[in-house]
Amino acid sequence: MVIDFEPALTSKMIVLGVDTTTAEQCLAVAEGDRLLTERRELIHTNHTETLLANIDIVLREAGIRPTADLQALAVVNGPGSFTGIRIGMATVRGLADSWGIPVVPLDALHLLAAASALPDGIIIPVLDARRQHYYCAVYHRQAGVPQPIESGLELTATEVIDLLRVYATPIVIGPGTAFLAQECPPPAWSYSLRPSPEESPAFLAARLTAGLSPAALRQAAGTFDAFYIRPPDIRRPAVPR
Amino acid sequence: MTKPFLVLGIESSCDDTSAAVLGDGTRLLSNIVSSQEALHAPFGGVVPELASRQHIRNIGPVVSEALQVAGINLSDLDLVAVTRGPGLIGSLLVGLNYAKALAYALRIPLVGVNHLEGHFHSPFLEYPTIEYPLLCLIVSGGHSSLYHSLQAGHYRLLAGTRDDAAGESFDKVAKMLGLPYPGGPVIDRLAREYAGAGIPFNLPKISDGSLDFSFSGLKTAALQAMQREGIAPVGKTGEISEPVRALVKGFQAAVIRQLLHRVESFARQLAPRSVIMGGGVSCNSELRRQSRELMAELGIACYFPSPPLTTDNAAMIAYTGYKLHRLGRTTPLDANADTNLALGEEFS
Repeated sequence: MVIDFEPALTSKMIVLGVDTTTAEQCLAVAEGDRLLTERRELIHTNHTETLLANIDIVLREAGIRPTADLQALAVVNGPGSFTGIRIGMATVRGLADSWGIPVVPLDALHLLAAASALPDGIIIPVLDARRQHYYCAVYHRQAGVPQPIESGLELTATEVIDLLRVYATPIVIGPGTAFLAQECPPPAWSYSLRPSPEESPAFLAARLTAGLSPAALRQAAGTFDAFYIRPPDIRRPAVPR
Repeated sequence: MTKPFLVLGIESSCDDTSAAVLGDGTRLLSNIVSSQEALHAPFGGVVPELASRQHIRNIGPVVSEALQVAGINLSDLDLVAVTRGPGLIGSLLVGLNYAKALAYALRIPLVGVNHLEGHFHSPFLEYPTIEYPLLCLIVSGGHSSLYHSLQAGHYRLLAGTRDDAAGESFDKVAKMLGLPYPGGPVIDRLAREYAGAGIPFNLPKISDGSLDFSFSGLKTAALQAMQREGIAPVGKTGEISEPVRALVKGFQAAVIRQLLHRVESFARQLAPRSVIMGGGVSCNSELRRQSRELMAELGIACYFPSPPLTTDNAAMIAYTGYKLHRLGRTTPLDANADTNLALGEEFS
């Protein structure tokens, strides 16, 4: 999905960002590009039990009344834990419908490429997909805005390394990059390995959404679906209705 | 005119996404079911991950349609009722989390509902005066259970299945014979249209004398009959041979004989005032005909939900949620789904 990130003309939007795609539950409230409050918590079972209580806490901490102050929701729609993705998406869908505000789905690879500390150039975000695979994408970042060149890749370690070789001096970022230091340290050829951004995916999602123009916000909210990358396992035995 | 008490029911325990609006616990204002049947048909059963992914796309639009048909807005709601189990975890979590978010954002109470208690109540939507004590047979693709209930809210499991559910056996036999999925409706129709006698099936006996159900033996018997009589599955032409018709008629008769054997045994023993049935298999026309005949003979009232309320639906969840709320039951917002929730357990 390509989102037109033209600057918003109205006053700075207040957005709640929700990320339940990993074992760290992450919530952030942004006003424009400023972080108002954030909460990051490791979950024990799944996100279902704590998500609403924590949403309530961050909204209170930010002094936000949902019906009066909150203008949009942002949700990380994948890739990551299938169950986590759905808990987050079902919850924000219910909140957005109730409060009558839009919800923008943004994927975690795009968010990594949009992290504020990165320079322009070729950005390759990498996430651990487990089972010896990695979720990957390639962005050309210009004036701080990542434009996708390739997206939705699920690769082996070797394939990730092959992908890096395609591009001149790419910037590689994300929690899935740990294997690179061992298997293919940077001197092998020229790529630049960046640590994961300090900004949480939830804040990045909220910040990007807060920067959307009204038209771009409407367009982005109209594409509400999860971004799993990995196809469903249909070989598992089907269950009766 | 005072505003009616409006309950939104949400059901997503298996492959169908459903939302319903119930007014004052009696008037069904809408009942929307988004079926995933076509999505799962190629696999001969529900693929859990496919179902979960479809629920995420469906949940918002289905609820929106239920509200629109009922002519109300979310802000008009007084209560949200949602299936909390049993069912597929990925499917349950979509409906449950959506419902919890509504309850939180709209500041209205939430009631988590047992899916089986929903099926139990499905005949009450149309026949609110059904009398207790009663026997309730829940027969679907996932369940085959007979309950005794002395009064509202009381459930005692009399018989469950030791292997396949009744509806599951319909699906499996249909698949063996090359008939479409789901198997129940097509077997019902073929058996009804076939004038001849069905191929006889023996009633499986459970050696310890238990009255539990067992359907996997019937599936094996169907396979053996195919081999013995040289019955070929339905081919690409889609033409259904006479022997296939005779086989499904005999199979269906054996399923019904087993179901009604248990119902009759307990009905004679416990002398209930009513017998009710729910679940997709309770739509079977021959089961309905024979049940009515048997109950007329025993002098017991017999009730079935109308067909749209037999399969998974949110109307029965809204109704059950309303009843539980009247009893003071609410569910906290930290509630999780429970895939193995049994009927009769404390669950809120």
